[in-house]
Amino acid sequence: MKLELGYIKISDIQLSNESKVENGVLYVNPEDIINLIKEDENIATVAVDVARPGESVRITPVKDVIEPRVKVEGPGSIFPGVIGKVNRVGEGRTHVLKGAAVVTTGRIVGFQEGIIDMSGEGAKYTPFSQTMNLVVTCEPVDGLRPHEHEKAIRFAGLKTAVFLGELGRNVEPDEVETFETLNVKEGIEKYPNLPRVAYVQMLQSQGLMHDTYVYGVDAKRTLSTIIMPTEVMDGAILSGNCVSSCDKNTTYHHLNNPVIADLFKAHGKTLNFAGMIITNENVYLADKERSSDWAAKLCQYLGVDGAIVSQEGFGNPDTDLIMNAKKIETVGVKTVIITDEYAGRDGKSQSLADADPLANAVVTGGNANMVIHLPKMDKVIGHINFVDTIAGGFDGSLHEDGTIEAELQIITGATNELGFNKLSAR
Amino acid sequence: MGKIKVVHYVNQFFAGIGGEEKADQTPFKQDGTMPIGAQIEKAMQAINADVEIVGTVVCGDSYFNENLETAKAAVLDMIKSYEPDLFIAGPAFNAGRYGVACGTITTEVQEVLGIPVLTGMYKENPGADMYKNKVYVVPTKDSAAGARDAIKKMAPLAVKLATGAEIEASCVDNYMPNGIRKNFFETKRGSERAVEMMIKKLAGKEFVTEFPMPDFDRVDPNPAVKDMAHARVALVTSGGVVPKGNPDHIESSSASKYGEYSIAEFDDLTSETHETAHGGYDPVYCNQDSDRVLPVDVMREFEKAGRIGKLHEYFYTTTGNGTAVLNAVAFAKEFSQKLVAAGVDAVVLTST
Amino acid sequence: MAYNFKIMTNNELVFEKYGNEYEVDYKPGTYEELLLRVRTEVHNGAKLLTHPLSGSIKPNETPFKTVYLKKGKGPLHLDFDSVEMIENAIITAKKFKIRFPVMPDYIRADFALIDLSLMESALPAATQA
Repeated sequence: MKLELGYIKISDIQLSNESKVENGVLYVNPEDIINLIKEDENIATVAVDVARPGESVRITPVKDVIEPRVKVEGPGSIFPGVIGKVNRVGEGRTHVLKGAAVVTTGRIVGFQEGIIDMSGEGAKYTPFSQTMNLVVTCEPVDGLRPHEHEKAIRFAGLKTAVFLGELGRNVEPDEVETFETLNVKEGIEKYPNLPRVAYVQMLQSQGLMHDTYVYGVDAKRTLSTIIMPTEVMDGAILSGNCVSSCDKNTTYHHLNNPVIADLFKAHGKTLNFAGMIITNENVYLADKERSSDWAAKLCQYLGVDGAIVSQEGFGNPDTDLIMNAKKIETVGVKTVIITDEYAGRDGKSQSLADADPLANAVVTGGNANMVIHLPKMDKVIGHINFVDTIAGGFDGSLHEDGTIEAELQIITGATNELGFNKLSAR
Repeated sequence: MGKIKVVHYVNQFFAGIGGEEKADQTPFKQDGTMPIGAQIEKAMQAINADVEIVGTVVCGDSYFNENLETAKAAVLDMIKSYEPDLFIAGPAFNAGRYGVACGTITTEVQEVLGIPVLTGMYKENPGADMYKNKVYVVPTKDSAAGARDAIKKMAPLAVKLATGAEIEASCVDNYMPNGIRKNFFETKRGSERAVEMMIKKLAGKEFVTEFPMPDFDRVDPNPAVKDMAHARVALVTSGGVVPKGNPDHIESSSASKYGEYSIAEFDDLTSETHETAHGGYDPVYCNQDSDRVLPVDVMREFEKAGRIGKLHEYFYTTTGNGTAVLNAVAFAKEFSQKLVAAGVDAVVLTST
Repeated sequence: MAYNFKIMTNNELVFEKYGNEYEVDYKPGTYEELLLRVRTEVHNGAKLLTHPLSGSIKPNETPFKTVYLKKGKGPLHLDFDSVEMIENAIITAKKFKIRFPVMPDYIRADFALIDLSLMESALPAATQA
């Protein structure tokens, strides 16, 4: 399966009276976005803002971040089974508005979380301080229940990203990159001497605000399965996860999964990227056992030599992670796992809620309990009064002068467990 | 700030006095540096630090370890006399007693004098495990042939410590991981590091995990005792149960010893007869009735009912609170022999 | 129909919605108190059916926790995996300092709802087992 990604480099976003991509600038008519989102009668008001790298801007509470993409050749369309038809994606050609992102914000429940600072100390920790962000703030109609509210905002973001992506359909990309996954037999024949490595991605799947969707299916109701890495690039996996902002995977992360990218980089040189397995992180322990059994079974069946396992979220997914590592090692496949840590503010506490000696190769995204100090920003998009109630903040964390003292876990994507960042800990 | 004053500690060998035959050297001090100290001083000055090793304290390894309390006090006094801003001991490489001495004295100086301290040694030096969580210990090679490398790592950290600069993650500032996790920015993103680690692991090459799993000292259970009705059973506890008054003064935490006490005369422990020395949990319930931690009463019932053969006459006890694993292992090695010699078939080990 | 599981919770919403249908052991209290109550059950032989740290909301944020247990046969039939898991959960919970000793009602209600949702995500599996 072969997919070309055409990157249209976006150097700026401008609000305008016409939506278009021209000379690397994404022009957006806010009315287009507002009308699009208001098709959903559950949304009462929509505000559109732009946040650029280096600006004194704080966005909070962040629900999701999405990269605009459009399918220009090949079957299906972006976000299959959700925005697009359920047709299989991952082949042909997809255009990407590289450097641009849609950020959704809005209060779903009282303790919503996630901060993106476009400058200052906080900007070092979130990758979205480096993207041109179109920020969409939605308010629901009165009395909308959290389940519907979450869904309404999730769709508002996805629809906006698809709308913007569409603007790049007929734009000539600055750069084209090709990704190809051979079938098992072809791969072995082509690279007989390279070790075969699989990627096992764990997906958060526990309930309201903790969900992930695969081709529109709620991941908690899935068995571990095989997916093509190029399908993921076309939006086959998307986030309905709004908690634990530092180590949840936004839809942007899924589209730009760094493990996939770096395995492709090594593919054909030092290893053979043999395939990708997705497995969920359910609440029910028997589900955890079953899903990890299946992940290990699929690794064994693919006959891979190694598997990189990435985690999502805090606490009980540590148990899924360790089960996966243990069982995959036990079937004779070597593992490297990617996680993050909650070692306490002083760094002295037990980092993970579970552990096993077989998990002897760990990459960490850092200690999410580390305390950081964020300066005041000139402009806040969203709802700053929620800072006190978002993860990692604590009583009094929002000071009178607009500065914030909080734990790193307050920052969107700070300790990402796909290995998206350079942050680590020892 | 003015000139940084440093005191350096070395053993008899690095003081040029002699090897093992001179290990009983009593402590003495000398102004200025010994040869290895001079190199450390030079390396620190090379990083632009206004620093001077004002004095060197010397002690023989045997003397230090065999006369721990007196040696410690004497050495500490000598160090103090220079009013240093920083104290460096070693590096000790793989010399076991030297490493333990370096760890002991740096820990003591840090606690008593309240100044920054630094030592260095090989990772398998017993002093490393004992002290790396208490003081900064720079990992070195296993012999003095690695002195140049050791000094290269110790000097920058020493300067940072002396100037009060923030100490970064262990892999950045070159000290042994000390149980305190610190964030820092790698040069490559996590996914790339994962791929590289995978390639090394698959090739059977050495790789370094970024998060070592907690040390699991798992012990496989012995086969089940077939005939409990005739088995001699002993009680052992880390819950600190001792005869009233704690006759051997077992410490409430970080125990340095264990106790061996007879229960031949007891069918039941009471607040009159026993208590706990443990400082890591609420002692009220154990002090009211120590059977709650060391179940002598129930064992006697089992004995009478014939469910066990005999309750062993002695029980062994210590406080598990902050007690070094090495100490705990040493206690157990010793009393296990006694238990075996006494024909004990099974042990009930209680913790708190 | 009798199920072989019980639900321990400090979330009144769970009790109100499911108390008639299933065995719901509801007692108001803190998150940590609930974990300790669960541990007592585990020490009496119960087996955990759901992870005690379900959800990614930190133990110092949400005051609510709901855990499914399979009823036990007494302390002589300990499930060691459950013992280990609940101990690890308690250790993890303890390292977070409670942030909102006093919480506005609307936020409490949201946390209760999320806990209910996490609990409901395990219900099909529990009732089919």
